[in-house]
Amino acid sequence: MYFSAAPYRRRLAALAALFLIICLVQREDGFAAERSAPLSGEYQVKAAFVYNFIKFVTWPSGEASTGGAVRLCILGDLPDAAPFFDLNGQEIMGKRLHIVQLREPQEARTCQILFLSSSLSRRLPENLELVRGSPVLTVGDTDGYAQRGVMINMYIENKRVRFEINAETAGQAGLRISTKLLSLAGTVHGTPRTGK
Amino acid sequence: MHFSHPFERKASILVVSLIALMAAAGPPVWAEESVPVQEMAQEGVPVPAQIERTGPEGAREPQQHQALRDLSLEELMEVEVQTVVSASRYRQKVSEAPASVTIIAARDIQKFGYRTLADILRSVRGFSITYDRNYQYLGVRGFGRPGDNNTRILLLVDGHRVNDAVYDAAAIGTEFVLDVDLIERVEVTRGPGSSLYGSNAFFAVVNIITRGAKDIGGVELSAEAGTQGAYKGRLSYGASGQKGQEVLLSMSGFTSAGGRLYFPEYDPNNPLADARASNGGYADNSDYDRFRSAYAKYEHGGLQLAAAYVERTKGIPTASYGTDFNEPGNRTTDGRGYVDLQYSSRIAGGAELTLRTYYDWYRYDGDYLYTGTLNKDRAVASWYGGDIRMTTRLLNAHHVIVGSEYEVRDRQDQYNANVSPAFLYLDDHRSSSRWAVYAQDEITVSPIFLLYAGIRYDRTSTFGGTTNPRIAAVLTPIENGTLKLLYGKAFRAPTVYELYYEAPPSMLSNPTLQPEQIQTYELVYEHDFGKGLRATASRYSYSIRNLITQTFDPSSGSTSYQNQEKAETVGTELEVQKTWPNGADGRLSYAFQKAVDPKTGELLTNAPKHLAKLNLVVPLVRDRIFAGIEEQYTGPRTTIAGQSTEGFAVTNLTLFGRGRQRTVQASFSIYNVLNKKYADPVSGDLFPLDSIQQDGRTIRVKLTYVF
Repeated sequence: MYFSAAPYRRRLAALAALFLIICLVQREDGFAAERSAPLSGEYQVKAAFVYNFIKFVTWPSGEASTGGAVRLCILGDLPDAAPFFDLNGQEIMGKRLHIVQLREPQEARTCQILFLSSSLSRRLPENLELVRGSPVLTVGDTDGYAQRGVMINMYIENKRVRFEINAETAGQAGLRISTKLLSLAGTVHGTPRTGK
Repeated sequence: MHFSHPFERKASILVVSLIALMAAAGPPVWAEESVPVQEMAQEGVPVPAQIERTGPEGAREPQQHQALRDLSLEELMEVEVQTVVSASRYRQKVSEAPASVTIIAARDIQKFGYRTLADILRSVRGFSITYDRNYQYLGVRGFGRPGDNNTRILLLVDGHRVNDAVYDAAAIGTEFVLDVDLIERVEVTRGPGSSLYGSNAFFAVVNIITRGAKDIGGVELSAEAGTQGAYKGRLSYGASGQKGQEVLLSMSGFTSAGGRLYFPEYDPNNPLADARASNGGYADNSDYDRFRSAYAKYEHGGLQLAAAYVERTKGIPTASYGTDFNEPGNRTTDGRGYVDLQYSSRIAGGAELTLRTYYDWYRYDGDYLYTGTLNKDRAVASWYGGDIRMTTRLLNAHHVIVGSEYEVRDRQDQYNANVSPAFLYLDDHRSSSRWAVYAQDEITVSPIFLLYAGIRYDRTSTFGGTTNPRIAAVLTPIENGTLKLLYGKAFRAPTVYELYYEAPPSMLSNPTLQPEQIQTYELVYEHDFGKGLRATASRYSYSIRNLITQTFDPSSGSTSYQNQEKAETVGTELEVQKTWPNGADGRLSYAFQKAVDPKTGELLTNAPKHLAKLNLVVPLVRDRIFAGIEEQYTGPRTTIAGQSTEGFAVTNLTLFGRGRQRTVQASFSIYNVLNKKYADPVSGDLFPLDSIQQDGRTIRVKLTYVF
């Protein structure tokens, strides 16, 4: 079991050289075949969903028109918030989208859309209370959030993103959710107030 | 550290310069984004099934993102996301789990050059590995009886139990059923898990999540070569159909000639040498190791069908069980396989239902030569069963899991005979069955207080019933701090081997064995300091009774298994983790653990008091080339002969590089860089060996190509 290092030195050097050559060759992407399209990251897809939701929700007149901007606020830590920030400055329905990471939950009323992360699952009732009655579309991606009052809750089924809608709380906030969005939802809790 | 050889000096210069590079790469540019939250999903349970660890590696491509945004909702609903297990399972943050959890991801396996599951587990806080050159043994929190077959760990692959039905052994060495390259994640849940998993979930539950077919996305070819004539090849294929079906097929082969090993106990020049001493104490051509394995998985909707197979042959260079020394014919072959079908679906009211059915087999063949006479030791087992589990949320505050399991072990046979002249020592045929019911409720008592209460009843045809509860309180008194108070009980049923293996006069059976039991208390505090810095502190106290121990009876001169000993373990663990925005990633842990026999107050054998580990990944070229540095310290351990092995530190180093398109990956690893000589305590089966010297410096180079 006592190996002498000497015979391995040459082999070690050869292997190290091989390793370096491989890395150098790769640098030019010399023999890089096109790989099949990479899978989409979960939060990339979720961010795209949230972006799309905006098109199917009508805010009470006058409310969302805060200088032609839509504020999408994130409360709590997301496993991957970057895809949301990539949406910052995008135009949607003629309005500019602003992505804001909230430091203080009290600021939630200033948002049109509030994404509640699963990290604040246990403080959810207080946070929902902060925006109750305000025309703020609450969105989440945590099991049970829709039943607990979050208006649109995303979940994953068979590796695909699905969502459920709590039409009751959306209605109480004065938000109208289009029938199209309702029809695509996996589950609708409560009676919707539809129209577009 | 002494530098006796120029190579060591070079190696240490390399390490020092890497550390310097790391320091240079260090000053992080703090991004304004939030720190990734470690998340896990429960398999209805505290075993995480889903974690998002996003780092600079989260393969995010803005163009693709742009494309996603422009898709319609209908189109978006068809986009598959990067989750491994069908993710409608109950997710939860690691910090909220009612246990202390560690997760090792595929990228760690690549960047630290891990070759076996044992390599992976060796990096886990409070875990230690010993190797007797036949099997690898896992010690958890100071408890690792030499040669105990890892019966006190429950090993799962995608939730499928892989401990066998004769020895209940968790195979973690080259005989592990899955090629480590097919692992997406290893989730280690410390503490007793019997309240959800039943037998064997005594010290920890280790769940392996396999990679998805999409992750391979074509044909993946991997080849590796290493010192001691080690070669490994793997061919994997992953594809997905138009309707979302996914297929993964993989085959691997490995061979290692092994080194020439010297054992002073078998050196005829040693005045204290064993009677079998020969060949100058060298075992030639006896440390070989070969395996072939295959894995297949089909997924569609909530359905998953998986099949796995492995057969491993290992030479025994240690003349174990009194066999001939320097005899390459001494060897063990372990084969196992399974087919597992599971289906999960959302049912009414948001509940999730999971059904599983499976068939497993295991076969062990041992060839042992006694002065040229071949003795065959054999075990054959097959078992099948099913389970059903439902998770649902009730009244906002409750998250409930209920489930039931049933298993028939229709064949648990053991056999021992000499071939020529023929003599039958043992031909034992057994079968048994077991069933269980369990429930757990996670109660949100208040925004800062989560309470877990779980209980499971197991009934086995061999010994009757046992009930095991768990209670956990998870408190968040301050914003970034989580305090966990954990109480649990667990059991381990005696194995068929312990109950019925008999080879008179030296070894007697004991069909009256009862399960051994453990009761545990643990206090865990986790703090998130922000900016990628997290720390964990844990204090625990374990008390074990009716420990099943191989016991020697001087009056009859025979050994048998008895419910005899008690053991108590107390320990403290500290761990700090840090991720840097440039892709660097570090983990530092220290464990102080004291496992004693309460009767004598003495430390248990093979129970290191101190374990310290450092794992560091540093990007040398952003996103392309990484250095993985690993430093593991194991304190002195007592051997069964009452000797003490020296404490030692082992350094491993891996350079990992990949092409921009990620079609090529290459790695170059040096294990035990400083050629540290150290020995692991071994069981009495290896007498007169008491501890076994481990490998010095070894090297591996690996290339992976995707077509």
